[in-house]
Amino acid sequence: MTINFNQNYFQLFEIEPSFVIDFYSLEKKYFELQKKFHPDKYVNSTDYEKRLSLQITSYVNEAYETLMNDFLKSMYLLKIEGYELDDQNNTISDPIFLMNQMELREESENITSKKNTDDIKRFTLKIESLKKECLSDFEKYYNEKNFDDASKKVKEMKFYISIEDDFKKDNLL
Amino acid sequence: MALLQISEPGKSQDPHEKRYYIGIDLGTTNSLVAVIKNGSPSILKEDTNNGLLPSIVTYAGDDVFVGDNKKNNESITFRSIKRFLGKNLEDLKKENFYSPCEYLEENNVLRFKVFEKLVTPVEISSEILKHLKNITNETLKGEIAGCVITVPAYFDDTQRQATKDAASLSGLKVLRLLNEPTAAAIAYGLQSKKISKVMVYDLGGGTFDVSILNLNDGIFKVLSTGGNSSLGGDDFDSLLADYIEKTNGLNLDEQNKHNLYLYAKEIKKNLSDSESIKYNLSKIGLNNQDIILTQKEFNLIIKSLVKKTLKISESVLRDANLTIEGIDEIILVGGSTRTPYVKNMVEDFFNKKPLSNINPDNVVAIGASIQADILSGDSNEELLLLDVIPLSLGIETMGDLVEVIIPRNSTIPTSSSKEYTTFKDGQNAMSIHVVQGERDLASDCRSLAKFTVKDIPPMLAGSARINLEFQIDADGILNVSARETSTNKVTEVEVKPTFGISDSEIEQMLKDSFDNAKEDIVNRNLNESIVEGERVILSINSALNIDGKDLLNNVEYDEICHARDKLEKSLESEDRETIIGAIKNLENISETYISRRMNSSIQKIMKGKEIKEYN
Repeated sequence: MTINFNQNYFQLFEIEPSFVIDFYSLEKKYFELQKKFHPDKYVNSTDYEKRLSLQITSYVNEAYETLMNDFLKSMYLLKIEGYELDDQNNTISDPIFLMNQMELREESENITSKKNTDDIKRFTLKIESLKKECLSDFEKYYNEKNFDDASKKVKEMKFYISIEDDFKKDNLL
Repeated sequence: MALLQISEPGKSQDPHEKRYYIGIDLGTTNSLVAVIKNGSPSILKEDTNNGLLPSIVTYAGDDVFVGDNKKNNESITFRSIKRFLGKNLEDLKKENFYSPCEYLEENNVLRFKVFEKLVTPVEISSEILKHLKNITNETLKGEIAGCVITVPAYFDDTQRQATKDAASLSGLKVLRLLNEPTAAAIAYGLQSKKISKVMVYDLGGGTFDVSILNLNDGIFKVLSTGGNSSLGGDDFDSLLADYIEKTNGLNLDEQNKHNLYLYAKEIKKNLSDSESIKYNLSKIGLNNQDIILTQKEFNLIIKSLVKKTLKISESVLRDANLTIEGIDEIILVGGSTRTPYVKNMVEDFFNKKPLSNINPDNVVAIGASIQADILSGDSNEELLLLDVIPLSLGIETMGDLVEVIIPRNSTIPTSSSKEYTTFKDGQNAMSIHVVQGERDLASDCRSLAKFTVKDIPPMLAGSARINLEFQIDADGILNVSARETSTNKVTEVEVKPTFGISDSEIEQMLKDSFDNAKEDIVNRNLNESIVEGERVILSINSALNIDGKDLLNNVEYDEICHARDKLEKSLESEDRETIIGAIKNLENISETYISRRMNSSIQKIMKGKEIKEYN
């Protein structure tokens, strides 16, 4: 029982590193790995094997959850290219985006205070489409190997996700 | 293989002695045992019942009875003991459990005072398992080699462990604990499907659980779960009893109320098969008058409760990132899904006919017996179960805030690491508080463990790097290790919860996270501003100590100190605007000082160097 922990997530699942991935192949390979390495298969094995099985399946689960999530996947793609976006390095200095950011926050707060169902729906869709646009821009830049602009898009996405989370928390139930 | 088996003389196996692997549904209201006989599952029955053993344990003197026994004034009866498994005293106070006798906590374990003895929930549950074991031994005449016991999908490690303990107390070997919704899906043979998403809607006597499973080629993955631990068919009965009491202008005492409640249960059952029924209250000693109740009337009575279950189902669906159309199968579990209105509402809501041809009381036990058969090696089927954690894990950061490390519904085993830094110059220890829950503030979440990372080398604030690694194993147990990356010093701690988190607490926690989101945001903003204020004070103090007297005249120095004191005072104001104002004020006043500091440090660097070098 062994696995190469140094390979990247795409290599692990034997798929091409790209923004658009074949979910069917990914899931198939994921379940294949689980069937082989899951701790339930090593209930009567040595402690060493149990530990290894735990580490491998943790790695497999992390990899799977990263590639199944567009935002995490984008960050991971950039990481492979040497563009690490950590918490310290994620502020956007573009003044136009900062303006938009403030306006969106204000709009979100206004809608939350009024609780109008149509407005809530409209704003949810707006954020949804901004995210989509952002993702497709990311894909374009990434494919052009323009990683600086691709990084900017990931930072933008992070903001949209945070505003979406807060808005959902405020306006659900 | 059996044909090739060679036995030593005198040790030959009795050909009639068969080894059995059984499946047990240890339920809140009823418990059952099932076994695979000749390739098909069957529920084992006592002569006196239909296979459903009420999960009721009665202590009378030295005797213990399980099931619906006659009680007297001297006996102590426990119902729904499953609710107490893995709980402590604090939980009981919060949840309003009904206890038939006094109880106390000893060595972190809850104990009931039953006559002269102290009895734990694990022991009481083991009485039910012993009874099921006896039923098996009497009907099968063989040896029980192992069992699979079902537990709710949201059961945490402590509750699972308590279930295992009860089994070993009763002399049963547990091959595996199985999630109840998964057992239901196995009972319907869904593991043979290539790919599908299954919703299991389980409405029992006193609890409601809903789970979404992803099935793929023999692998079951729990995508999300939810529920309400105090919502079930018993609530239908009390609503119906209230309705009868009100519409007939009755004003009943406790005893008559209880009789009417039991009668309502009967009426409800009979209504499942007909459009309307005639009942007469003389049956429970009240006025002799025929009254007609239609199904329509009854449906209106229980409508809000059924809607509640659908709302919960909807949010569980959302947690799994699915829409109604994404669900391939719905399975109905629990006796209360026999109520036609429940069935219809579920069908309408999901626009799909639910699976209900297996008796909803038996379906979980049947699934458990199939799994037991698979684990015994007698079956050719291959199954792998992938589980998720029911609540997010995080750690407390500055200002009582929670930083989520592993979000809920993450597949386990899993691991995650995060880096933290020191807050003050020379800080040599850091305390880590691990919490579980969905709220923004640590004090609103369940505290799991506290530990300290010691011997951090003294460095400037923000320079030390503490790497925290969280590892959750396949049993859902968390391990945390901490490492200072510059010295590689490792501190390892196992974070084993000392008590379980109840399902209703999970539900409450989730609900609160929405209800209180607003309050949380206000608190979060306030706390962030307090932290920022403290940081500004610390840095201005350390700067003043270094060169304040050199770079500032007395008036300037006092002015800065005054603004700093004002900020210090504002931190107690509990008002974000005030604090931010005070921070701004201090920053404005120190502006000249800061630029002088920058100049002086540049001068220090340039000191002793020739002008030429800067050409």
